[in-house]
Amino acid sequence: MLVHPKTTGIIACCGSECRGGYISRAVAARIVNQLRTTQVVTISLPRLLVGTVDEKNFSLNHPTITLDGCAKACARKAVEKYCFKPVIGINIGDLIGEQEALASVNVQDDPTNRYMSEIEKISGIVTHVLDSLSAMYEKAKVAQRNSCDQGTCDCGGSSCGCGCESGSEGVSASDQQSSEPNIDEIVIYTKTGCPFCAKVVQEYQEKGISFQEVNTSVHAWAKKLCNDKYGADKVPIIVKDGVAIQIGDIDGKG
Amino acid sequence: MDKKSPVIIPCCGIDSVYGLMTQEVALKLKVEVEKQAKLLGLAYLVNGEIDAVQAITNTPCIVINGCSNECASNIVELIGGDIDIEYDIDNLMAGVDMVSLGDAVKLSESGARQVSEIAGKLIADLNNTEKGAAKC
Repeated sequence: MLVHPKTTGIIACCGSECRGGYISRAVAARIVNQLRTTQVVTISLPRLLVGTVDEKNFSLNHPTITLDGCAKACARKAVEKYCFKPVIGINIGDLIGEQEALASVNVQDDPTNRYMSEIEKISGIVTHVLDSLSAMYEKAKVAQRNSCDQGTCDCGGSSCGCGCESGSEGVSASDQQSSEPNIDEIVIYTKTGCPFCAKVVQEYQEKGISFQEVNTSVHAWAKKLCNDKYGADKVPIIVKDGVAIQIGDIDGKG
Repeated sequence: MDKKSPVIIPCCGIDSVYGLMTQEVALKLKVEVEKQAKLLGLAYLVNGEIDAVQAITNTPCIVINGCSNECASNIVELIGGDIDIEYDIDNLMAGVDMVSLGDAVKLSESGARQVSEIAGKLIADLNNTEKGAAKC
């Protein structure tokens, strides 16, 4: 039986000895307290080791995204070691540059505005990742409802609360797309939970460039197309006029 | 064996304004005592990896906890660190309305003022205390 979580967890490294860690705390705090207050919950990383039973089981009860400041990936490693593997691990160093992430925090800056542009940028990327994850869970929920309608559900009866009576409502038009999109448009192939994809999508949106996003986690045909036509096993893939102009982010990461 | 320069370990807890205050106090402290002490993220210690354990072995630790859970102290003790000075922000803020300090995202003016005062006190303590445990 599929479980559809009501809330996603986020655990940040919060390391104050470097810029990436400082940004990780600020981003996670903004998301939980301001941007996605009802969908996302958090705990401090040490609680996985010295907290209550509930706190130690955090990533078991909430699919968890870890947000690390640098490549040491302390948060991701701790979640893996003490609880249940995170669904996505984001390293801020991959998004702003590892050298920048490892630099010291500039204490002279006004703390209310310190690294605000980076914090806003990373917050946008992480919320995009969170939203794509929510959409994936929602899609799985709808698929299960449909299975229930068709009698092929694995929920084991009405006790699962899957809402069998809801029928096939909730499947969006874009989810039903089953073939290659219009090649006259720029197409960005992405994957659920990929921070590099979220970064590229955010950059195109900021520049006002129109594009179509195709999620390869949702569309199996798109994943096959990326492999067969563009020879790429990673995303994002940016396709213009039918030609892949970029595979991975600007540094080739994906 | 000779002890190394002290390390400052704030909890930086994300749950409340106290965690944010530990971060800001530690950052102020780092500037003032840069040659005497260095800052160490608690996350680095949580995994208990060998290099993290080495970083605090025979090293006086100045621990700044946000709340009574005392995560920073507990983790340091758990991996065998030697706590020289320990501060709890919620003890230092006893009697101060927590809401007036700001929230987990942003300090208020009052919160920022309190951070400066606490950092000043810690710097004075550091200058007066070369060795020995003190609990505040």
